Amino acid sequence: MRIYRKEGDEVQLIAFQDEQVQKGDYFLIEDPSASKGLLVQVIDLQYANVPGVLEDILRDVMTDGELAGEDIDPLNITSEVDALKDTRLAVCKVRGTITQDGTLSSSTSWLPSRTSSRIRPYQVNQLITNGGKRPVKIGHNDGEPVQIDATGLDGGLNIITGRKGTGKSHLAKLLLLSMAGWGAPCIVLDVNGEYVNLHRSRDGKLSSARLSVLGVRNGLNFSLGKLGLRTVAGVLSHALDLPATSSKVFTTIWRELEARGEVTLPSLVSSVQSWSCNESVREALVSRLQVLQESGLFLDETNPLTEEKILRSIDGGGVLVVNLKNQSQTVRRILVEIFLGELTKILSSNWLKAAFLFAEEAHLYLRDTYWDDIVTRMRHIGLFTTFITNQPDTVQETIYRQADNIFIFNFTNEHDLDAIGKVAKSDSETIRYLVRGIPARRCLLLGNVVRDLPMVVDVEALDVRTMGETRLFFS
Amino acid sequence: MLHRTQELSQPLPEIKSIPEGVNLHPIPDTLLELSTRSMQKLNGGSFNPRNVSLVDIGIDDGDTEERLDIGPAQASLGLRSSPIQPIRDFVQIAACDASSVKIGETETGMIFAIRAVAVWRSPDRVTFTRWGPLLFHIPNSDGQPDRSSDDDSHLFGGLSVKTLRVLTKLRNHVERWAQEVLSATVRNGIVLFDGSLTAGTPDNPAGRVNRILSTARSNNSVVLALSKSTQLTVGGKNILGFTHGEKSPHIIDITQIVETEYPAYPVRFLGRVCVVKFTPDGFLFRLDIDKEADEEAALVSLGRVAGNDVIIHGYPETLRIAHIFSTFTANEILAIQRFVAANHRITLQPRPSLRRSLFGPFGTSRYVA
Repeated sequence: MRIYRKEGDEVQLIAFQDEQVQKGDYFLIEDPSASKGLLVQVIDLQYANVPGVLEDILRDVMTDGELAGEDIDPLNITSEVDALKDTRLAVCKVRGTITQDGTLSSSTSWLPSRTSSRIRPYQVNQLITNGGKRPVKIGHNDGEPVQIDATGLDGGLNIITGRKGTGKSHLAKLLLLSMAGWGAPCIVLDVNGEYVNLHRSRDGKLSSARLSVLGVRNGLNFSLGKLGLRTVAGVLSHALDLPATSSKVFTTIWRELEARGEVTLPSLVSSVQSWSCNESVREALVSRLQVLQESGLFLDETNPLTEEKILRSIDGGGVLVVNLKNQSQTVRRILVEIFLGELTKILSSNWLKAAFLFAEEAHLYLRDTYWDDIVTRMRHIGLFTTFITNQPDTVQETIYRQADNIFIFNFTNEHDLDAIGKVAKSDSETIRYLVRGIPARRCLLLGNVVRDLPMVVDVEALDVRTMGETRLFFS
Repeated sequence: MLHRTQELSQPLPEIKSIPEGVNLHPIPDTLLELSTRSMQKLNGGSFNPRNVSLVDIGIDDGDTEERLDIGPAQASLGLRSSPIQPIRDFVQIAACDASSVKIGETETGMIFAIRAVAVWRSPDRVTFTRWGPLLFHIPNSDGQPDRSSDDDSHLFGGLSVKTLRVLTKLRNHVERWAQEVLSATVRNGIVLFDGSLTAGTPDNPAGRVNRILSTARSNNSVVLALSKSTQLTVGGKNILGFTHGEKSPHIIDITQIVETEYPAYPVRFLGRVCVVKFTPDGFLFRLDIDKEADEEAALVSLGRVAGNDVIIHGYPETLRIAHIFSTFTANEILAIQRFVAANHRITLQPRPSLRRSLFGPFGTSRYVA
């Protein structure tokens, strides 16, 4: 390989026919006189712009049809021409400098010699993962295993995104089980009910993973009194869009019932019906409380799901799956509102140090104001969220800007690429070139877990019942 | 300066003694040996590869142009125009061409590549054979670097006169050999050459051209040679400017006035010199027709070319393909430079162009070999 040119943070290398280069590969341009090397990553492969190649190709095309012939080429120059035609231009981004002692420095303010530098493939795995305290085997890169350190996901905001069927949920499950394996409390908001069998292998055997699954009429049963005014008022306002005036009346009614120790859903409904207030306020409150009654989440207020029960299921490395499958959007929103309220309580009370929330297709149930909440307030109380989505434009831009780790699977649509191009952890060109056209189960890792060295990884297979596959008619 | 009718008397003994008796089809061993021997002397030296860019790649396809101005008096002798009637009856048409290109400079000379192509047209397909490229290292006559390459000799594409002569001789030799292949293999057909049927210089001996024409005749084929450009003028006007306002395909025979004006020796016109227009919308070309061929048969042959070949801008496609396939692309020049560097243990040492350094974009030469 040879250095062709450098412009900004982009270096172009000429790669000859017999040299193996792939998008995502790292190369070290070692300058012996400087005793250091420039670390670059290939983001795109192009054909070298050899002068006159168009003419050559047009000639070749001529001979494909009615024109046939033979070359008596004693020096076999044709093979040299073919080699030239196949000469590639590797467009690379500068990632840093490898110093003499093998450490990575972010300094890129020097230029290696174009004539005397030696260019060799460089395995960045050693820089990224080896030696981590809590390794998570995430997959392999060019045959080499890739491990990330679970601490890289700690305290952060993560995004897993990619087209449908490219392996997002698969990676989420892998991370989830690995995090739980390292003792991290994890909660999943499961829209499609695909996490409910994570503790079972494909052949049905139970694994050591601690998994609790809760669903409507299957453990998700709450008591209004236990939830408290703040959570319930939040549900009415945010999940059920109760107007502010009605909310005030509701608070007054609540306080009165609370003083009498009678905060239950039926007593609330009855109080609202007999309360002296504007008829429209009454109607607004009654209709919302009826939704709560019909949701099936308050069937037995004497035996509710409490913070303690939630805590028990996840503390010390458990996975709590909140199954939202087959629920209406309203019920999902109510559930998520309640759950986030409960988690906030648990974390604010320091009963739990931190929790990891995995949110699939969050736009289906997360109200707008929660996005900002997750990025700011909830991070500080120890709720670390991983968003999983195949519609990157549904995730707010602030989330991309604040994300600490991003796992990107295949995208081809420009609109999608534009949306994820806003991440602060990498330049948009790297994302655009590396993500477009990568096969299923291969993803681009960006952020803390890879020490900001973008890496393409074939995600590890997982022996669990995923239930996430699309149901097919013809197979 | 050497005139092209003068014999070279300087060194370059190997290249001077080009063998004339050659076999057909495979590249003759003698030619291969000559190429190998000339290149063997390179081992271990340094090599200044030519710059390859599309704007100044300049391919020399070896067209020769006779410079002759025929006065208006002769022109007034009258030029007879004969119409060409396209004839659809199938006849095999074959064409050949050869090209040379400079690959780079060594400490003691220059490296050139030469390639020849023959093309055969049948009713349903076109086939070709391409011979080469063959590489030749042409040493400077005194074995010293060609110091004049950046100044006066730019008139000759950066080549010294002697180097240019040797190159011309080599290319002519290869092209004549390809013509021999065609004249010997095409029967009852038409053989198209690129250039003219003028011969009689040391670089282009008349005897060999005569033999080619004779072989073709013995195979009942007619040789037609087409020149894309010519320096033949009549009354100060290039013969390719003769239209007489006539748009239909026709031929104008100017042999008589050309021969009257031109000395009979050493250069010899082995063909009847004509101006031809194959299609109403096409250009005019100089056409040399084997002088020994029957005049009527020659006219029929032209009709067959017009009727069987695809004529693009007045030029037969078979000959056009031969030309396209023989010329070197920039990519091929790079590939040959790579081959030379890899196989002759030569160090590539691009030499900065003094002309370019001094004059920048205004320093390009008009002619580049």
